[in-house]
Amino acid sequence: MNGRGEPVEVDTIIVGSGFGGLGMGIRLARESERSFLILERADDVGGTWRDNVYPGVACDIPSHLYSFSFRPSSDWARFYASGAEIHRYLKDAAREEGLLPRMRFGTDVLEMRWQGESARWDLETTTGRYRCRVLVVAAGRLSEPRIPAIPGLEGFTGPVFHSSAWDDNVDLAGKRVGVVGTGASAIQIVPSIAGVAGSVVLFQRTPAYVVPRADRRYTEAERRYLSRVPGAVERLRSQIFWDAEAGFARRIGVPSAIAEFRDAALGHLAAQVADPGLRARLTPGYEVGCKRVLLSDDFYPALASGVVELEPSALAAVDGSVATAASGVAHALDVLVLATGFHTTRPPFASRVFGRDGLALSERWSDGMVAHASTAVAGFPNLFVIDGPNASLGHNSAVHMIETQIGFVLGALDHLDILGADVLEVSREAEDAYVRELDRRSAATVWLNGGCSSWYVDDRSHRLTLLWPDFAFAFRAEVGTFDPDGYRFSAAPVLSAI
Amino acid sequence: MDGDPTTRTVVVDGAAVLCSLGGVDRADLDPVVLLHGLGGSTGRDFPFLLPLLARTHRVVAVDLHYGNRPTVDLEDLAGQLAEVLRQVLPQRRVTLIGFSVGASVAAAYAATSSEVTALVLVAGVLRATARHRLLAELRAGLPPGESLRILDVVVAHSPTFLQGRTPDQLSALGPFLRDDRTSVQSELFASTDLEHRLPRIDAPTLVIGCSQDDLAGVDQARALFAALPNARFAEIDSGHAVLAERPAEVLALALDFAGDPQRHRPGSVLERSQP
Repeated sequence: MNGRGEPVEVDTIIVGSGFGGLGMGIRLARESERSFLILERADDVGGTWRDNVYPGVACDIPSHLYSFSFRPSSDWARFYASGAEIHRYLKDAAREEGLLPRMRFGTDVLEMRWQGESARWDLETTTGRYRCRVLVVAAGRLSEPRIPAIPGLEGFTGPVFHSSAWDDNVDLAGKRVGVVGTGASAIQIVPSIAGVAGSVVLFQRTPAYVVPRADRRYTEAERRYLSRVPGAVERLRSQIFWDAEAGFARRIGVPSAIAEFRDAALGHLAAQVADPGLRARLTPGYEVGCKRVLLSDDFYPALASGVVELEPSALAAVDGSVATAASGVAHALDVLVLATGFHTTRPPFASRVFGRDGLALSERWSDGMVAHASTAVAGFPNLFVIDGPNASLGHNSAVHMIETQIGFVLGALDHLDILGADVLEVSREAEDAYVRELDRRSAATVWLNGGCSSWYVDDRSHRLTLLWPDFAFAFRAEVGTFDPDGYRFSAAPVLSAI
Repeated sequence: MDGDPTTRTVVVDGAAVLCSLGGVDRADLDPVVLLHGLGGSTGRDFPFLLPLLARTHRVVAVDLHYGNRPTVDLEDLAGQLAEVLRQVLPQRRVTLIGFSVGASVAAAYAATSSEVTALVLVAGVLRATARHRLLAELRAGLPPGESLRILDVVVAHSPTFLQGRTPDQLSALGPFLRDDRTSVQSELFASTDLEHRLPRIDAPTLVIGCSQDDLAGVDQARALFAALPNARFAEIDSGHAVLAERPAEVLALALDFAGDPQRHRPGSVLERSQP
């Protein structure tokens, strides 16, 4: 605690300790002499994978790709890692890379304010004040639960919790459980609790496309192969990466690729659900890929077997223990699980960041998130946002994107050193040009043309603000190396607006 | 996306040559010309590359007429391509991408044309070896049927790729067209000798070899790289059918090279991608 007196001052502060924050920290620790701290509101590292402990939680990207390229592991137990295994991987990474002394746990950052006079960021947190020259916000994309405004929800007589705040104290055995939502979390939760709960009702507003998961365990011999044969892990990672990259053709409107993808999903549905009525209720009415495509081999069987009841409409109202769907059907429930997703297009951290002239980042982003190189924001000097605007993917690994952004930040910091400057800020013109180019590319994608609403698109501007509308390799090629063009550099202090 | 590519038929010496066109022509970007590989066609080899290159470039994929005789002359094919480009892309300089036997045609054309600003040779052969001739003999001796299909599938794909297919996907693989063209191409492939042409190629060239290529052989790609004064080399972990196995990696290399063909100095070996 450093409440009164002078703030704790370091060169760089990283907010968040998921893949983004830890990756940034590891590379800074390995490659620079900078002083830095990582502020984390929880009491452990791991981000999404620390918070999401619901039954069945696992990743949709193969483990050898959903991990740091600079910390390859030959030990992944499965093709798709469980949430717990990924969390363990991140904990090990933080400890083995010597980051724990730089962690400040239980530190919720309340305000981040740029001070033009001193050219420093001042941070107010629940454990005191901090000051830094460079601020890296890696606060996550799937970190703030979105709780739907459902009349009567707070009066529900039983336990109610969001999927990312799973309550282990609630014993589901024999209970009537309602699950709201059919996204990536719900589809993992439903089959996992079906065998435990007395009954499960799934509230489905919009059906998802589901393709086969074909997960499998790596044998001990395979894991030894990966560890003993030189280059084997890198080779596997590369193979998985380029396989996934080919999938981008499905998002950009190549008709044959889209048809093949749609056939795979609908074929999976037909193979696993025999009842034509149920099949019809599970068939999406929008184009495949518009919303996140899910991977599961046990979701449809859970519904087809009758263990889980499908309510083909949204949860509309709660009255005591009765949950009434938009269809008018009432379901008596003991427990309610909200697998309703996250605030993605309006990240809550943005209302805590104040740039030049005291402008809140949430104000700057009132029409939707924007950034140059998906990382730097005009009016916010020395601020870098990891996994913020247009930095996610629908077809490949988020970790690859994060590593690209880390490379960009390190390049920018090196450039400051070379110039002997303290402050960099991207110009509004450069940012606008970047955003225009992304809008141009987005226009041809299924995310804007697929006939759905999704968390990839900002509902205020109908712009695709979450996803990078191109290949992951293109992100690396265009953003992975810092290009000073469009940036202004200055020495501290900066007394007036540029 | 402008949907499916449009097609146009060009008549050269009385023979119809099918061209597939995609993308919008921009004055500041050279169009990209694609030549398919052994036993293939534009439809089979470029369902990925054509539309994705067409996001940024004018693309013309040419299904050259390989003739009705048992053999075809590389000069004739290069001449045919010259005439097609004269009609379809008059006065334009081009980025030329040739795959497999298409790489031989691309090299032969580039040796006689000054209109190629960048040349990409994918899974090509410098000079056919005993192995190439034996394979061609084996193919020629097999009757059309499952054995021939399996031979084509096995030599064209890497073990890694085949291992990752379901039984249904494996039985659907059949990369080589069942017609006379394939025999002619196979013959041409097995008698390839580009050595005397390559010194005449000025265009900056990217040679892409496939490390598990059992048809052309990665050594042949390395030999092409060595024989071309103005060449760079990249290797992809794939079988010969790299456009089926690693299409996005080919796209990444092609876009990077077309964007600035001189970025890497002649003689450079590009770093392997480390995603």
